[in-house]
Amino acid sequence: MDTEQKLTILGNAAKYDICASTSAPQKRPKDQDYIGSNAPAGICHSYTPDGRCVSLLKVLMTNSCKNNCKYCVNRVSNDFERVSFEPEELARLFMELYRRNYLEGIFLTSGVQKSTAYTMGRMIETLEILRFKYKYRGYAHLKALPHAPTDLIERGAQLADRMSVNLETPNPDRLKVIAEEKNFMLDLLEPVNIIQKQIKNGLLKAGQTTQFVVGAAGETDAELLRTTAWLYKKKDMKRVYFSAFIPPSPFHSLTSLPVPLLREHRLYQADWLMRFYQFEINDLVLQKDQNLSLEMDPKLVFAIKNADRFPIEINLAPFKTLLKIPGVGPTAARRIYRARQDNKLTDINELKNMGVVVKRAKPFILINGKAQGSVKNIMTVKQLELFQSMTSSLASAQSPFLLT
Amino acid sequence: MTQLELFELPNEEEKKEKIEEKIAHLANLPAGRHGMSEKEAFSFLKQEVFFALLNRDPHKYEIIDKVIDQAEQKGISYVLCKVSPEARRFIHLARQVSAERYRATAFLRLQPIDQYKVLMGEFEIRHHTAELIMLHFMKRFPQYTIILIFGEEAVIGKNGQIQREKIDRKKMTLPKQPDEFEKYWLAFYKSQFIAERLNLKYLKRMIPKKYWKWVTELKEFGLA
Repeated sequence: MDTEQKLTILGNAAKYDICASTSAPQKRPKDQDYIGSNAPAGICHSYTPDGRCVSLLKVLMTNSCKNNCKYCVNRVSNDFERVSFEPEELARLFMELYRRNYLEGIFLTSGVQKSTAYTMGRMIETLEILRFKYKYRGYAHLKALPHAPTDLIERGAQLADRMSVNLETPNPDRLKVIAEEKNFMLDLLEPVNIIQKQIKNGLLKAGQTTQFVVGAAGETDAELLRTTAWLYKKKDMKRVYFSAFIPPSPFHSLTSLPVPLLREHRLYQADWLMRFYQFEINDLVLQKDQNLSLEMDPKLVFAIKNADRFPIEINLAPFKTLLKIPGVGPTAARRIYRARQDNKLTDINELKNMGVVVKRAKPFILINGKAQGSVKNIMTVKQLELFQSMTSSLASAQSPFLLT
Repeated sequence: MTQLELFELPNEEEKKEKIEEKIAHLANLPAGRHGMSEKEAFSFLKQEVFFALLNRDPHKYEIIDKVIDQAEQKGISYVLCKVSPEARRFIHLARQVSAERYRATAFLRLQPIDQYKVLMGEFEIRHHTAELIMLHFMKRFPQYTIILIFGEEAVIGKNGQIQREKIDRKKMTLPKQPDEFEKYWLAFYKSQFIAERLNLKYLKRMIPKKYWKWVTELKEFGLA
């Protein structure tokens, strides 16, 4: 089979793996005998018509797999052609595309062929060819396969900028639904722990990430968010990705229906609130079915649920409180906080200049004691009615797995 | 302004020098409360002035002049936090430049000419960003000579030095050779599309239409 066909098949098989970020600290090489560099903010070299960034050569090394995960198109019981890249073939292909400035880095992932150790060995061999033969200094993301041996993770951590393990579901019970042969604690969480140790030892400067398949196992947003918060807090996870389950028709063997993309979007909004807006897991408000509202964004829901804390005086509120105002992002909050130390803010247009979305923020702020608007102006009747049904908030937990 | 000294702004040297002199006074402002150190705030402002000066907006000197006065009267934070409409416009000028630099580093495609160890590419720029773009590629490919064509000008980066040369576009075009790796790139790019997630609006936001002619893979989906 020629390279073009392999790229089509193995690229298609890897496209649901999310990780477009290539942000990594810059390395300072001592010599000029290298190729490649990291951009601290990352660079996206193209976008597909679905709006997703294409910055990494993201193909499976092989679509052969001994596992039989129900959500996965590559599972062993599916009868279709299996193909593989050789390490040298993949490394050379990547370097040629990189030289042409099509790509920012490589994302190495694979089905489990023969054994985890065998397959990860081939992935690491590819990275070694890149780093030592081609003297590549740019971005590399290595996927740790389920039940990856410690020594291979340690070796991978020396070569890659970032590693990841796909947890797929938020807890062991949910994993049984979609991948009964995998053990959540041993096969998935243990590699996360080993990677965390490598990060603490100063390796993997771009950290580790993970991914959940949203909706394949019937889990709720509450379960996903509890585990997400736990991963950020206890496992130093850099980023948790959510991928709305799209049945890979006609091969999938689950009864789950496609998940609305809006659900994925709301989960990301909640995730951002926890990472950048200093929200605690308890601040997030859920519907009675333990999911986030699809109608309203979680920050607006929080503000309405906690109406007694608003409106907030923009000239006096602490930074953390500014972040709770709908329409005020971390950058705008920082600007408000800095600017008002030398000059009192007096006008809504000043906030607009500073990047505040004033239409959303108005009902929730005071400027020098003066109210700026009403909540009724920004919510539809339907949204107000829906809000009445939302009362529960997420309970905090040391370990999310005890609560399933 | 060491960073700015590296760059030439044709026919604007006198105005540029005035701005350099004026901004130097801000370094002596008494300590205020910027939420960052005085030194950090000053160097951040200098950086923004540097980017704004590379903008081709005909009113840039007027705007920069005004915001330096505002910084002197109300503090550097007043400008950096975009409190006034002038400050907002000033930061916008700077962002336009950094956005153009970013998009060139993302969407400019290089063509290797291996017998000379050259990587060559072409792009369209509006602002004075040629050197900024070249610095990115020189750092990424230090073993190569980089030749970038911007309209009627070729910018050449070699052994850490950058030089500019006027070119006659009628005589000089990029040698377009059949490239098997372009074919592989297109196959890979197409494989990444998820039909259920179609979102052209977002694509247009991420790759503004004026860049479509450089992002040739969009043609695979009947775009560009």
